[in-house]
Amino acid sequence: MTQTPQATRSLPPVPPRSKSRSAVHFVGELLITIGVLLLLFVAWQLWWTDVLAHKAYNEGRAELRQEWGVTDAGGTPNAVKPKYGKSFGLIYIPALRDRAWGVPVLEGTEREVLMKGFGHHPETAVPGEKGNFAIAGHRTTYGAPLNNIDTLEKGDEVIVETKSGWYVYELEAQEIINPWDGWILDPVPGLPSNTEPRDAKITIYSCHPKYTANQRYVWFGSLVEEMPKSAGTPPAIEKWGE
Amino acid sequence: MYGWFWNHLPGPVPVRILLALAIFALIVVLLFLYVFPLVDSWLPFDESNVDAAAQSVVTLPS
Repeated sequence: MTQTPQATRSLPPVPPRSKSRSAVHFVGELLITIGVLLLLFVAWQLWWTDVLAHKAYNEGRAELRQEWGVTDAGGTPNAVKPKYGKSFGLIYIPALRDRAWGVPVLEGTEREVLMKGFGHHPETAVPGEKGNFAIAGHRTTYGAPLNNIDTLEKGDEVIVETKSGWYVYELEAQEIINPWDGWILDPVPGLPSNTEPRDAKITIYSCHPKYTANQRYVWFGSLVEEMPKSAGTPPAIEKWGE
Repeated sequence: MYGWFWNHLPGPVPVRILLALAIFALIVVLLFLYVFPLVDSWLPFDESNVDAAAQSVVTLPS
């Protein structure tokens, strides 16, 4: 077999590189590497944390269902304060059904807790209790149950399922606040923090704008219906399934 | 850097390509499982400790 000169694989001799050229070469490769690392990190944040969160949601849901199934679902509502870092309920928001349907709510609002679902501020009321049931959820990353919190409307429902029953809250007012506006957690948000609560309220909030932690997007609401498990399930749950 | 790496991979070109891909995949796995979660915990996007005027310090996470 004959080889034409074009077919030979030998490259023309490369002149030895000067020091400055190889330095530029090295910096170039370094920058490309950093770029790839940053892109991978963004992919991790936007995609992988969702994978992790959905796994955690499913596990949390299965765990709760098992726990609730073992002992009879009757009993007095919310007799026990939930343990820190542990899930005690499931949240269903019909208007945000694609992301916030049967998401566990856990006691506490620190980072590790919010990776697994909604976080309940321990110093606030439990579902159905007089006072303010205040919960936080991710706007982006880690399942982002409240990704579309800005599309909620007055009158939309937030349904909480606990061992003892169903609690249907209706959203009433929305506000954008600063991260230091701790008043949203008050027993009656908007009134002095020592006000004695007369109704069961809900505060549900997330980061705002998306992909930042500059502000918080908050919805306030009130309990409109409360039913024990034995009395059936709320219509929205009937309609779309648990 | 990558030239050096390529020259130190053993075998013919197809083997080298496979090896390079495998090593890249391994690095991505290590990043996803160990490095990125650590980096994420240093970033402020998730939560901020805030001092509510008259109250104690409360956390308002994202």
